[in-house]
Amino acid sequence: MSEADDEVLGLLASAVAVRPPDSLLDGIVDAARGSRPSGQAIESLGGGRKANPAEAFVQTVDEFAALLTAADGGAIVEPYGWSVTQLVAHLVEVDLYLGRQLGLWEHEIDESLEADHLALTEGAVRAAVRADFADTVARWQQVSGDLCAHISSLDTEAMRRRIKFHMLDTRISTVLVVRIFEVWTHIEDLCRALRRDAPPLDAARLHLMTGVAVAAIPLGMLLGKLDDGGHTARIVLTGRGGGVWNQSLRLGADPGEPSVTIVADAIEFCRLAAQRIAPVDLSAEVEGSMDLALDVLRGASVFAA
Amino acid sequence: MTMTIVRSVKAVSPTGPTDVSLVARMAVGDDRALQTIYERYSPMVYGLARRVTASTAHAEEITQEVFVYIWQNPDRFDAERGTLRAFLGALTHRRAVDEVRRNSRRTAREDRVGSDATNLDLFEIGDDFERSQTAERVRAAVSSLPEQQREAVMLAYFGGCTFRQVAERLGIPEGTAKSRLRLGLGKLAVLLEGLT
Repeated sequence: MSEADDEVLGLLASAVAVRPPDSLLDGIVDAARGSRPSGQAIESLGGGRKANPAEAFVQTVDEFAALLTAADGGAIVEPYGWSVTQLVAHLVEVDLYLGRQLGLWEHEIDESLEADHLALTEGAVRAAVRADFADTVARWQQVSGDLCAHISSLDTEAMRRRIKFHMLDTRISTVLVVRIFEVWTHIEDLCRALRRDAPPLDAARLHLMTGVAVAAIPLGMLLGKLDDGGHTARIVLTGRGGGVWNQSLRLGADPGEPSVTIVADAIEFCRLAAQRIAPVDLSAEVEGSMDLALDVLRGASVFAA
Repeated sequence: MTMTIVRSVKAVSPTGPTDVSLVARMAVGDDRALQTIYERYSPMVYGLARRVTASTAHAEEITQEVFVYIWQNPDRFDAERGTLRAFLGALTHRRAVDEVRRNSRRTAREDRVGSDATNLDLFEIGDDFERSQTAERVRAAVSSLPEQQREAVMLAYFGGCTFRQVAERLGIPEGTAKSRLRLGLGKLAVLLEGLT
């Protein structure tokens, strides 16, 4: 039978439709969950696989480094209007800051700016206006290489250690996922500037990012002074790296019955979290209160600020 | 349940999320999407399985297998190649025909199928308004087919018969059975345009 025949035959089948016994659904849902737990994606989308944050961070840094070999240091990278050289200088500064927080080296910062990721690197970015591209890249490779070597040496216990990062008390593993997020976002920015496709992010790495982005929503809502109302949101992120989360919108609270369901593509949601897509521009399906959904999406996008 | 696209802040279809969206949701583990798909298509799956196997027990078993299969393998559904209804219908039909062919009481059953398979009133149709309208249009289309084509389509599809079995039952060559089926399906496709 052809696909066209299947369409006709599907309609024929609907002519003999009969509602099945009510008891059938529960057994089907139980059998389905038994074969793949609720909330776990299928294998091809990364379900059941967990990326190691340290390896994932090093891999993402390597991908950024590979792009620089073909880059023009003077090309302008949006959304900040930096040159590629300035973008690399920004990363040097962020890596120096992370190494400082990990206790790897001394590095002087303006502590009044520590909570603000962009402000903290603004001086270095400005100074890089006239910097030589090759020298800046060499400097970043040296700092980043030292940082990656240290991170690669951390065992599971060390990855659980908490450090302060932009004033937040967080596990090192979480900080690394935040950094993966940042470097991936810059990879996408850089690829747009270079008019080339960004290297695809594997599902397991993307799942680390979506997990952190969803978990950060309550903090984002708090920082954004958005009313959480004690609600829980069901976040369904589709495609590679996706999953299902019942996320309490109040920091530290246990999730309850969801008041709103938001369905969006996992990569698009990451772009929202990285402030590369505005909440109103995200293509999402909402079940429940639209106002609450928009606040949740605004909270998700505070993450990158 | 109201579905809204945030980008345009307006209501989508009041019938709920699209099948494509629901399958994408199932793929990342959303069992609520499975339940919505079940609500939407279980009457078709169960009704077809019951019609072909003439057994409520087998129909229940097949219905469970079909919905657990789509949960386990949502990536097998390709919206570019057809609708979810066609995909689930084909899956159900294949499974039901396998069941019939495995059934040790097949000979006795075939006698019954031979007399009943062409009768669209054998089972009641669903009570959902939209499904009833679809069903009525399909039944009218099937009724309008020339008798010979109608018999071939009904025996092959609802009777679960092979081309050879259709030919034997109707006392015609196998090639003629095939061409009657092809002609019948072709006419139905034209008559049902807009529903597919």
